[in-house]
Amino acid sequence: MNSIDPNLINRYLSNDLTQEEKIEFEKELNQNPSLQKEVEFQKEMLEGIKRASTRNKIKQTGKTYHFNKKITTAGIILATILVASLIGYIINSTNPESTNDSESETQKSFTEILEQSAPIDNLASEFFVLNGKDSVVLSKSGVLLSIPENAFLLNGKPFKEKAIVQWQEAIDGATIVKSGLSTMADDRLLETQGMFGFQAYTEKGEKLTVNPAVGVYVQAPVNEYKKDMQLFSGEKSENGIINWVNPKPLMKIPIPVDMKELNFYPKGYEAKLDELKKPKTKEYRDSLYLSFDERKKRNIFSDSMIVVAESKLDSNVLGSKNERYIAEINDILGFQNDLTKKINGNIEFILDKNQQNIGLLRLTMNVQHEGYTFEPNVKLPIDFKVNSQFEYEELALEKSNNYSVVSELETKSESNYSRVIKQFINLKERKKPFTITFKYKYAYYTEIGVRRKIIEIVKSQIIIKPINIEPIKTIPPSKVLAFWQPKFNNTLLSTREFERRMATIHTTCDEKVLDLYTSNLSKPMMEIDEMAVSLGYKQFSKYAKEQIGAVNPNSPHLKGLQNFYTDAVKKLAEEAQNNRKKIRELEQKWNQEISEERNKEKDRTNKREATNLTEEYNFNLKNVCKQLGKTVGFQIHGGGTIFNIDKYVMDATVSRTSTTIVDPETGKTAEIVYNPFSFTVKEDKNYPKLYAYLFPSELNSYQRISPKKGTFDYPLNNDIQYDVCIVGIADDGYYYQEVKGINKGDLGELSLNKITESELDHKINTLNEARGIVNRMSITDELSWLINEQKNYVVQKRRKEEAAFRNIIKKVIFPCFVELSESTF
Amino acid sequence: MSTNLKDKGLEAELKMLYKKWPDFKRFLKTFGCDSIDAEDIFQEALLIYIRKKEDESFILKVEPFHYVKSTCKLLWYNEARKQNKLPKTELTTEESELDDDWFQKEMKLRKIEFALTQLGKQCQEILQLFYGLSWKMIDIAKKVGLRNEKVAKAQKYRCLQKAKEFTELELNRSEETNYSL
Repeated sequence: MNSIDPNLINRYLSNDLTQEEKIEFEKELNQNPSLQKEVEFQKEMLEGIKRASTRNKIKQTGKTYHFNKKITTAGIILATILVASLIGYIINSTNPESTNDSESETQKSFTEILEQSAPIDNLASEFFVLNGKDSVVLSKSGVLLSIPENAFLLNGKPFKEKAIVQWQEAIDGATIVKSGLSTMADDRLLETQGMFGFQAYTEKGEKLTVNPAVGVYVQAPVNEYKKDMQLFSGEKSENGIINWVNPKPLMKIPIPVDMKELNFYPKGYEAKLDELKKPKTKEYRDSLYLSFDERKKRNIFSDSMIVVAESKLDSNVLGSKNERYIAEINDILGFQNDLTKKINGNIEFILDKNQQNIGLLRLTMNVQHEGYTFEPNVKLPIDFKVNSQFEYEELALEKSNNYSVVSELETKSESNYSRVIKQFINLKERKKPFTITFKYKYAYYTEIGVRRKIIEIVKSQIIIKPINIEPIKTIPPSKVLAFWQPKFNNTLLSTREFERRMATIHTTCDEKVLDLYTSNLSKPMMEIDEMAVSLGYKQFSKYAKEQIGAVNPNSPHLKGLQNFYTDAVKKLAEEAQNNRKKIRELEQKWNQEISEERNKEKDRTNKREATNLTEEYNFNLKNVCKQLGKTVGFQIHGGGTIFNIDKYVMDATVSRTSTTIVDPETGKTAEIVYNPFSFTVKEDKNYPKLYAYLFPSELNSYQRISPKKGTFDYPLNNDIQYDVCIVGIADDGYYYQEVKGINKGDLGELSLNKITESELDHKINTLNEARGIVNRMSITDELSWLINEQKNYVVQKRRKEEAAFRNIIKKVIFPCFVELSESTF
Repeated sequence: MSTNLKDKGLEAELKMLYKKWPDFKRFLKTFGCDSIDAEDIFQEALLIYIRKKEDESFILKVEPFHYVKSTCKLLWYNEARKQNKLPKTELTTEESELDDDWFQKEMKLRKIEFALTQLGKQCQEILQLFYGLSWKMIDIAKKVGLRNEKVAKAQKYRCLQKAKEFTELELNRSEETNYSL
């Protein structure tokens, strides 16, 4: 036995021998009973050791069981310790001159001294040397220390030079036990996830304190985040035992989520789109959201003023000789009997470089009254000054102490019924109501081509009531979409925690709050929450209480991301602006085309109506002369009586009334007969535009009539046969009905049938041609106008719907958006 | 640092069984066992159960709870006899069947275990980590705060020699000694 190395037995039992050694050993074992005994003994001993380790495990289980039970029964809040305490002894300031010259040696002996006076006894320290700037260091066990500039105070004053940080950590149970650390908070036992010691010194060994306004950020790795874990400070008692006091909640490190899984739209945006059955793709919803990004304008117009305008005719200036026209003017200009008229408008203020109160006055005036078209083809009297595109009027702001005029007055027709007056004015005092006086000069004509009366001067006063409207506060969509992309994954912004904050940010309507989060990517979230609170948004204090920390605060990408974000916001805002410009240009182009088409139509209609009148007059005159036994050619250029016939026929034709004409010379009578003719259209409300065309059997031209108060009423010439067709225009196309060979009667209610564009074209052309008149007037242009009107109707309807839709969405996206309406004032 | 699946399962089972401790305490109390002794007995029974489970030839015929309970009773019975107390209850056949060679050997190992408690803390830790948990020497060195693997190996050898001394001494002692672990 003595020849056997005791270690050999051990190695044999540990299965640690080579094949040869093993064979040799087993051979010896078979022959040697005492070796057998020894092996058996050692085997049992090893088994005993193994058993002891299992027992330890059981004992540990028992401890945990009793510990948990104690906590639950006693109702103690579980707490642990992450201690950054300032315990430890004050180092007697060592005199640098008395130490060795070599710097490294100084350092060494210095750290040795520090080691002895460390906050936690019997625990090795790590030392970090900081150069006074922002620093991030990682300890051996992976604890991250982020120490900003100005984090330390020396005797209460900021310390910016080289500092030495002493760091001790005890995370696992063995280290904690070995260094004799207690987990007692007074008489309660704490569960721990780690204990740390932190102390900073100057190079000379003076103790530094942590600046409470800046702080040191410590991020400790844990296997499991325990909700009730708290930070305790250690208090060292005389016998060296640490008591843990003053628990504070820990910061929780949020877990980044993929941006794709997060939703940063304003509350209700998606729900509203779903409700309106809009596309569900993110592309659509993003681009719609972005289209509401309108910041530039808000930056220019600091506030605006609403014009509640009442234009009042100054009857004095009319003079007594014009009195009899007042009623007529009222009618035509849309003034009410008390000579007032509503004008909508506003003044948008543009602060120029000198911060002057330059405002753009923008007024919309209705210039047509039902039944009258105030756009006759007129010639302007020579003494009238023109500075408006409307020939028949002069419009000018009168001089006043309240304002001075900065630019020429512009007027622009927005539609047939309203036009906009624009002028830049400089207000002396922006807050007070004031009156603007306009001068109008009107020429008023009724007869075709013949001037009836000029109304000389009309004065109109407009009261401007300034109402300060705060610029609408919004969270610009570009600022949201700019970070909502994969590039911002693994940042503070790609967390569920920020998702919740974003919902609240939307409700503040203050982009400054959003800026706080996007420009402080490396800060703990709770710090930013506090900043939001200090901006005056109390609702963020509940977030601050959540104690959320930072995400990857030391990532080198953060600075780059910050710049990327600024650029992305700019790009998106530009994109939104360009898109809007494009849409506006398209709309303007369309408006231009339609407006040209309409102007052409007006010319054509005027011509057609004039032709028609002449033709019918000639027809009637011929008819009358035939009845009186006279020839036309002679009579027209004859004496006084003939002139009378001429005049009677003209009056009858213009007014479309039956007339009996007696020749004073012969006593013969002649008759022009106009029969009543009328009809209505079934469900005429369905047709936003409704026209009837009359194709007379005896005239080259055709007539177009419109309903008045739902009824088509147009006396027909008894000596002419008419083919009538009715065209209804709706957004889904054309509706049509025709009645042939008629010259009188009430047709009652006619219903229209839907037809295609080509059918409409064909039917109307057929009616026109069927008259058998060789020189019949062409209807091609009229048809193309009709078709354009229909298309325009669809376009306008779509625009209106789009505007209504955008108005709904705007209110959802910008909860602080308040629609301005007259009732506001 | 080998916490494999088997260990995890074992830990979970231990936790489960430990949750039943109040039941065992009540059970042992009926034999006149105080709660401190009772927990020792309970832990011993758990240890026997765990070790038995590691034996591949062992087939568990009853619920783990009942197995541990029977073992508790047997352990208490033996203990009472040793202390010349009259057991208040007799063993059932099922329970006395547990008292086999394997069980006797476990009792011997328990003595060895006791002997090992006389070793220093570091020795105990090194030996348990190495032979019980099969840690690598390099990890053990780090864990117990020894400079390197070599030093740890030398220390292990010394510990093992000491362990032999204590064990030999213990096994030669009289049967009457009471153990308290």
